[in-house]
Amino acid sequence: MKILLYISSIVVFLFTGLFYFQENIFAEWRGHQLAYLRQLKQINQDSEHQEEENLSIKLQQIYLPEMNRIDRCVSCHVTIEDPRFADKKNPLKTHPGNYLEKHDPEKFGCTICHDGQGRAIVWDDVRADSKEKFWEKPIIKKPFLEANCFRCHVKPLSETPTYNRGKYLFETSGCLGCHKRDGRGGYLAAELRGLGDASVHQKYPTNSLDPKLLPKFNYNRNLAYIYESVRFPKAQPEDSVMFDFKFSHDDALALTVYLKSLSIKQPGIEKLPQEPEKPLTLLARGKKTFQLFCSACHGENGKGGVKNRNYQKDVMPTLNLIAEKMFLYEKEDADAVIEAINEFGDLNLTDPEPDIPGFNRVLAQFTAVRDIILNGNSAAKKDPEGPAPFNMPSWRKSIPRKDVTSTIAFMISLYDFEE
Amino acid sequence: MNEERKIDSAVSALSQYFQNLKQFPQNFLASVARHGALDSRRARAQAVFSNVFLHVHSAKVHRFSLRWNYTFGLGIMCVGLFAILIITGLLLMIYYRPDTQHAYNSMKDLIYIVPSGRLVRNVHRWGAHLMVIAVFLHMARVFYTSSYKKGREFNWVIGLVLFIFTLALSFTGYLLPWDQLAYWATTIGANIAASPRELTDALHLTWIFDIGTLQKRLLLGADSIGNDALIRFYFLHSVFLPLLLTLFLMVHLWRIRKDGGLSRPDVIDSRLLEGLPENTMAQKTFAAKSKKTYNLVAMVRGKRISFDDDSPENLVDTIPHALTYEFVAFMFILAITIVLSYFFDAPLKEPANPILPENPAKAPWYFLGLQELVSYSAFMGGIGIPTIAIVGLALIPYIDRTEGSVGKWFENKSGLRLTLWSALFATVSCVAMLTITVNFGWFRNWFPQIPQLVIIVVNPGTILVLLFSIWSIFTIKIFDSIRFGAIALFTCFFVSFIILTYFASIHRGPNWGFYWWPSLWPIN
Repeated sequence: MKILLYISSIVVFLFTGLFYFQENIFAEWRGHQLAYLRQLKQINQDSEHQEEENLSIKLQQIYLPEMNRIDRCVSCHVTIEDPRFADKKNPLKTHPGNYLEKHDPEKFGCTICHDGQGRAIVWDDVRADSKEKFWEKPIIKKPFLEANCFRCHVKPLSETPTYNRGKYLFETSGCLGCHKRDGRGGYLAAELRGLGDASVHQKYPTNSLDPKLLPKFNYNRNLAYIYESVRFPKAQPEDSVMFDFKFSHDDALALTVYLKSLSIKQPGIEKLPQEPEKPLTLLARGKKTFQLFCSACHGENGKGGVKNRNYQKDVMPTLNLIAEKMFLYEKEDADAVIEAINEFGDLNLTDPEPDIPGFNRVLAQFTAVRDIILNGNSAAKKDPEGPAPFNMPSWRKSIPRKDVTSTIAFMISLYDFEE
Repeated sequence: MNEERKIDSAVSALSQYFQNLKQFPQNFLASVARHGALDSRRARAQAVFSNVFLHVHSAKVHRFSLRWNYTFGLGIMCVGLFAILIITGLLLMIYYRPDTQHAYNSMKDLIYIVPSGRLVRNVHRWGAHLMVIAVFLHMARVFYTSSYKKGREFNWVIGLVLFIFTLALSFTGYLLPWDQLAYWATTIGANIAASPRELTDALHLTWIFDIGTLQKRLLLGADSIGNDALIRFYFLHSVFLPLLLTLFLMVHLWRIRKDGGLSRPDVIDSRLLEGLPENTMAQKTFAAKSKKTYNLVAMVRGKRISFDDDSPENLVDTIPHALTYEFVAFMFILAITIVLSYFFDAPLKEPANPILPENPAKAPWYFLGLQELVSYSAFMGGIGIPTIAIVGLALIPYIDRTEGSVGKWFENKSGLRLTLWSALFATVSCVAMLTITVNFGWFRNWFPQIPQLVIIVVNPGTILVLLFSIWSIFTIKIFDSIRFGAIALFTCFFVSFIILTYFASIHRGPNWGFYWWPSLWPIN
């Protein structure tokens, strides 16, 4: 019995001591701050200036109550604002670039840009990039880091080239033909706002099925999945109806960065004010709308050729021959129609009517096209027993009326009157 | 100590003042510990008797009670763990914030920057798990040594009440970290509270008598788990249930003394007492140290415990022997808790997200067996069978009134054999029922339109209860002994609890489907 008492007491004493040592002597952050003091001494060994005498080893943090964050990164990253450490290794490295001049760490903290677990003081827990760490926002590295700029920023920045490319690709590939973004878009696929917030532990999206992808994304499963679903849509689920856009690796990467930026508003953060955009011309607006909503199914610039399963006509309608369908055989007539739409908004509201032959026929066709866009249209099945083909969605809720008519104007302008 | 300090006229008041000041330390000590040095049996007895904390002990204990392989110190471990939990709990209360906005963040701050926060939190978590285990084992020990007989019946019931409080404390504390684990485990618990709806719906009584929803609302303070539930659980966990548990613990310990002390056999083989501390002073005689007389304070009810082996040689002083053994048990369990705390961090998953259920959502481990039963029938598994179990346990001392071998494990060789056979029977029954349900499903898989009432009454849980009851009654008949029937039933209950808990924790995965191992769960 006495032996058991001695052993138990020694064990209690030993492990409490181990806890003490771990916390007060062998803590990571203490080691880094000590290394900092040593390096300071080295830097200052020639001069008389002894700044390290005034520095004590203690936990540092940036307290940001409006954002409900506390960032303790500065306990290890002591030198982010000290230019003398620019050539050293992390964590004692100066912050690259001039970002800190525009984003005062005391006001912004660190995790608002870099993600990671700000309240932790152990690097593995801060990084939180493994399955055993239950933090939903692991530290994010370039180029995906660019996505986080757009928690506040609205305009594309020169510092975010990958994001800019991704945004361009998104808005010209017709993604919103199936997906929704901020409630606007097609009905066949998921709403994309919030994709940037998905995490391993929110279990959405699921894991990439290709283990070779993971290392490329710093083992961040969600980034790997977003990339995989953009580049290899048929990987999962196998019966996915998403088209294969045959993106290159770089383009898929850029799209991943853009999609990562589609996150839900963080508490305490306000987006920068949106500068008023230069108003676009009618055709530019129409092109923009077309590229955003229509081009995936109807082809780039309406050239068609996109297969529609079990559809009677096999492929989705081409839209660059609309002018002909609308009985506009001369370029002047087409231009007059476009002018009328530009002036009055809708061909039904023109006063006076444009002076073109058979305007009533043109008007009827225009209205028919406009109504198909607004109300949708169901596609006839080729094989009655087969699966349903893709229907034309109703865009009434997603596209403002002005943009619908400008899209029709754009489609009219696509017709090649030369031949 | 009793010398009077006469104010000698030869000593001036001023020098008396300094003399008193000088003698302050020893006078102070003497006023605190009025028994003086613990070198005489009388001093030791008085130390125990006159100290409010120590006088729950008797002044002398029987050597048999000190055998470690009799009680395994489990009662002390329960109390010791409770004390550890109170201390660590009080420390945690300084930093924990019981508000849905701040609870999770306060946990993170506790772990990372509160000095010793990680240690205190881990000790609290593992201490809680160990306390549940210790309470189970203590109940088993008391049962198997027949220590619920001979006047100790009510103490057994008090012990059951303490057991329920322990589980309630653990359950309420589980919610406080406000992470996914906490939120969804509590969801399961709250829905079990609402499970009488299964019964009232099957009987079409819900419109008049919706006790299920009432219970759930009482528990949560709302219809879903939110701030109301958190503050309610915090209050229960930190204030109300610890108070209740302390009160009942006082009664429990008081009853031990009044019912005759720690149980032991009437006749003790002297070989069993080898190696235990001896009463070396029994042979010596010594002059009484004073002329103090004692008044009769109370008569302790109950049959005078026969003391064939209770001669003075076998009674040893509580100080130091019983206290030493208690201290050993306490240090042992403290060592285990601290070692566990060093190597394993208490879990903290991502913040609670009401729209994203855990899959599988699992109750705390000691309720997993229950959850398995709940998967068959919510009412039966959540309320029906636990009530039957608790009532059955509470009835044991009142049904088994045989004057059996108190203080002997398993009664005798026959009893040991019976325990092993019962364990086998329980294992086979449980595995059989589990195999049937995993491979073939149950009634609703075969007869989709079957009334729910049939499933409530006939499901694997109730069938197991029936099988165990039949086995127990069969045992009573064969051995012509109620005690043996009790052993059979208790063993079946204990073993089936362990098996169901193991099964639900390892072999139940997403959507409560059967998986051979957690690594085979589908990547979600």
